[in-house]
Amino acid sequence: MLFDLTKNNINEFINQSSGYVLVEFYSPTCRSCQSLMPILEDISDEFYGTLKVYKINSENEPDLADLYDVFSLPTTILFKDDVAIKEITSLHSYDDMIGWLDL
Amino acid sequence: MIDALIIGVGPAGISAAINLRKLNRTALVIGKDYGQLSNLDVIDNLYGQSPISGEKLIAKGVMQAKQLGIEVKSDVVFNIEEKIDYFIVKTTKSVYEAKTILLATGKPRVQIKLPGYDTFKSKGIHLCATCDGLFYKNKKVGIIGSGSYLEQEICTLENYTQDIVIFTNGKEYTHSKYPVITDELISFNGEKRLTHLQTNKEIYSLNGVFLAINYPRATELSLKLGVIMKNDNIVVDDQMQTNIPGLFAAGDCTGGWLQVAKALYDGFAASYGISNYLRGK
Repeated sequence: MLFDLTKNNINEFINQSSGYVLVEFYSPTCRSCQSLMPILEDISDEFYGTLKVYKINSENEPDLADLYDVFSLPTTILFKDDVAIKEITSLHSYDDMIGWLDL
Repeated sequence: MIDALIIGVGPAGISAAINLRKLNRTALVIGKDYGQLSNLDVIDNLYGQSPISGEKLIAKGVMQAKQLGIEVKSDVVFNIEEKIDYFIVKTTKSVYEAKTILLATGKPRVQIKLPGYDTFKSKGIHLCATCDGLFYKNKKVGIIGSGSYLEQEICTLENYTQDIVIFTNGKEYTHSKYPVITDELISFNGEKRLTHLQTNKEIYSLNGVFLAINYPRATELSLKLGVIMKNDNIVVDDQMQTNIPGLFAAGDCTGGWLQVAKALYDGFAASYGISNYLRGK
């Protein structure tokens, strides 16, 4: 189960974090977002120690979606040392996500 | 409840239905038309079959299924809802419940290839109201389409905004609640993201545009169900099952060779996949 970030705790988990952080913007009604979650959980296990993976509920956190220019769900953003370095929209297979991450 | 509801009356769908019948499973086949194959002039590479038009070949397949007692209906699916252990399928004429679904809808084609589509897809142009509607709370949105599919998408959008304009791109259509623009669409405009929709008469300022044209293609049904795709093809395992348990796909919509022989094999494999899945329950 991925941990939910909110505007209250995002500082602690992204802004003050070194290394790679992956965040999925989702909503409870978006089925593609739900299908992506187990894939990201597997990625979290695979890259344990290198990459931290979180999720953000865009329904509850519209300001965070705004802040990162998220217009479409799911959107997954990769951060390195607090900087967003790339993003990918929509649902992809585990292999495609690994290819995109390129870690 | 039906064992398998098959969407598509082409070789993949009918092949699956015939083999499911042999495996003593009930199948209902729903198709809107004969799809891509009817446009082909002649199929001359099929085992045991002298050259035949695509349309005739499909008619033969449908007849064969009907002679086996399989129900084949001419109808359009506009929504599939996943429940625990079964699916609810809404068509323009009826509502069905099925234990499994087989998507055999053929190769999806982009329904609206206007300038700006590729640029603003996911940046203001959206295919899924349940996914992206929440970004338009109380904002002005356009929706392109007409008919049952459009009405269903509007029901979802209304949870977020009432400021909706319908664009039919030339089709005559009226709506009881929202304005309808029937002018021909010219382009999607904007900079970083979509800001305007241009018709042959006017430029409309909009925060976003949703598409609900004609009927949902395999791509849109998959998006709404959370099916994994790759390059617009549905990803399946060797049983032709998608990442959603009980949801299968076969034929051109899964990519690979766009050939009757491949579609027939896919349908055959899917029938065993479906049967194995139902047995495992």
